[in-house]
Amino acid sequence: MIHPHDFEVSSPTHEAVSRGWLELRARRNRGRRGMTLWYALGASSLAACAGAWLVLRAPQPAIDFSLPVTALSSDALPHELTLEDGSHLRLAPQTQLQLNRSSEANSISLELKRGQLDCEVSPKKDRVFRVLAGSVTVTVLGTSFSVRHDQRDPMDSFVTVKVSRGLVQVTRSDSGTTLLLHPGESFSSEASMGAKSAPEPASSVETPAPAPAPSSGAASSALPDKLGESARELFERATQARRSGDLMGAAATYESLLRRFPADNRSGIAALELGRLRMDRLGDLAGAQAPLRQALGFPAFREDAQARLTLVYAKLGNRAACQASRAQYDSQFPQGVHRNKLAAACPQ
Amino acid sequence: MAHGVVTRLRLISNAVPSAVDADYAEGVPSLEGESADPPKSQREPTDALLVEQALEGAQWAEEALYRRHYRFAFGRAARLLPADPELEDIVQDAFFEALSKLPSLDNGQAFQAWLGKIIVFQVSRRLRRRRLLVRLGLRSRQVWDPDTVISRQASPETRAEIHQMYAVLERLPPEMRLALLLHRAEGLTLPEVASQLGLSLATTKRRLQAAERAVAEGKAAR
Repeated sequence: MIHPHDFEVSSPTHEAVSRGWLELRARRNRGRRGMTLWYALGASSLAACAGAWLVLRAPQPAIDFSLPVTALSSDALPHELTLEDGSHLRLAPQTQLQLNRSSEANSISLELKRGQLDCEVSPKKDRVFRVLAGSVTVTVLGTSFSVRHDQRDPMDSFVTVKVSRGLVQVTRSDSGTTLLLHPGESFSSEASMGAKSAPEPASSVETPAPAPAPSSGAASSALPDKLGESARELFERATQARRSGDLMGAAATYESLLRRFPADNRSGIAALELGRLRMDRLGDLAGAQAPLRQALGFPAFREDAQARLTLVYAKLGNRAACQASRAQYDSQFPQGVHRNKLAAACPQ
Repeated sequence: MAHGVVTRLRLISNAVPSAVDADYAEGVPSLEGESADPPKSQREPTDALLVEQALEGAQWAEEALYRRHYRFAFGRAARLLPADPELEDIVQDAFFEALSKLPSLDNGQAFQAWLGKIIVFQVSRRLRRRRLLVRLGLRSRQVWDPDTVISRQASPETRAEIHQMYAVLERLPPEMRLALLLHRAEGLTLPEVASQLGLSLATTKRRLQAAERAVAEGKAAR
C-alpha cells in the first residue's frame, strides 16, 4: 500500500525561489500598471491603430538609387522596403540604416548604424550583398538573415547576426577573422573598433580574411538615446522582449545589461536568462557558455548555471568538460535538484 | 541602513536570500523593540498578518508569503505532475492568481490551503487541455517520471507500485487522477480532498473508488 511518506520532492533551490519571485513581481507590477492605465490605453490604442493604419497604407518612400549615400531610419514603427535587385529589407523600430552606392557593378552595401535589420536577399549570381555593422561585415552568400547592432557610443557597440536560410560570411575588420554561418547559427560579439575579444559563433570555419569593406559618412540620427537606461530599465525591457517573443531583442538587451552593469544584482539573473535563451530558444549552445559562466559568479544562481553549463557541454559533445562540470556540481550541491538529470546527460 | 533593513526582511521571509534585496529597502516595517532573540513563533509574522499587510499594498509581505509557501506549492504541483516541464509555470500562475485575488480570501490564516486549491485547479486545467489536445492528435500522451517524487527511503516494491500507479493515472480523467493523488500522495482526508477539488464528499468518494479500482485492475493485469 502506498503512503504519503513514500513521496518526497526535492526542495526548490533558493535561487529558483528568488528567480521566481522576481518574475512574479515583474508580472504583478505590469498587471497593476495595466489596470491603472487601462482606460487611457484603450483610448490611446484606438488612436494609435488609426494612425498606424494610415501610415502603413501610405506608399513607402521611393529610394533614389542614383545617390551615392541614402540614409534611412525607422521610428516607432517597423519599416519595410525593396531594393532595386528585389531584395527585401525590414527595419525594426528605432533602426538606422545607410545604403552605400558602390562603384562596383552588382554590389550592394548597407551600413547598419543601430537597431535590427532583417534581410530576404534575392538570389542573384555575381552580385555582392554586404551589411556593415560596427567592425563586422556580413557578406551574403545565401538568402535570409538578420543583423542587430546595439551601440552605446562609437567605441562601444554590439552586433548579433542570425541566419535563417542560406549562408552568410561574417568578417571582423579589427581581428581579421572570417566565419561562415549556416541556418540556425548565430554570431554575437562586441563590435567596437578596439575590441579584441574573439567571437563565439555557434559554428565557425576559418577562411582567409578579405579586405574590410569601406565605411562611409554619417547618416541622419533622429533616434531616442537609450544610453541613460538604468539596470532596472534594461532588465525590464529584456523581460518584456522575451515575453513578447522578441528573443533576439531580449538576448541583446540582457547582454547590454551584463556589459554595462556587471556588478548589479540583476546581472546574475540576466546572465542565467541569457544562457537559457541561447540554449533553449535560439539554439546557440556555444553562445550560451559565456553568460552561464558569468552567472556562476552569483551565488544565488550558481546551482542552475552550473547544471545548465554541464548540459551545454553534454550537448556539444565535450565529454571532458561535461564531466568536470558535473563533478563540480555534485561537490557543491550534493543534494542538488539537477543531480539525476546531469547523471543521465553526462554519465561517468 | 540598507543592510539593517535587509536583515530584517530576511527574518520575515524565512531567511531565503533575495537577489534584489535593496529594492525592498523602503516600506519594510521596523521590528525594533523586539527582544534580542525571541522565539521563532514570535519572530515570524503569521499568514494572517502577511495577508493583511499585502492587502494594504506591502510588497515585502507578498514576497514573504511567496517564499514561505513556495516549497509547499512546488511540492504539491510536483506530486500531481511529476517532472512536468510546466511545473514552474503552474506554481507561478497559482501565486499570481492567489496574490491577485487576495481580497476575496476571508481568512488570511488559511492562505496555504487556499493556495493548494488554486494549484489543484491549475493542474486540473492543464490536464484537461492536454487531454483534449491528445484526443485531437495535436499532442502525444505525457510520460511522467515518478522517480522525482519517490522518497529515497521507499522500498523497491513501493517504488514499483508508485510507478504502476502513475502509469495507470495517465489514462484516467483528471478528476479521478487528482482525487487519488491528493489522498494517497498528499495524505489529505476525504473531506479535505473534496474541499480541494470543490466537490461534494459523495462525489469525491465515488471518484476515489473508481481511481482505486482502475489502479488495482492495472496491477492485476500485470
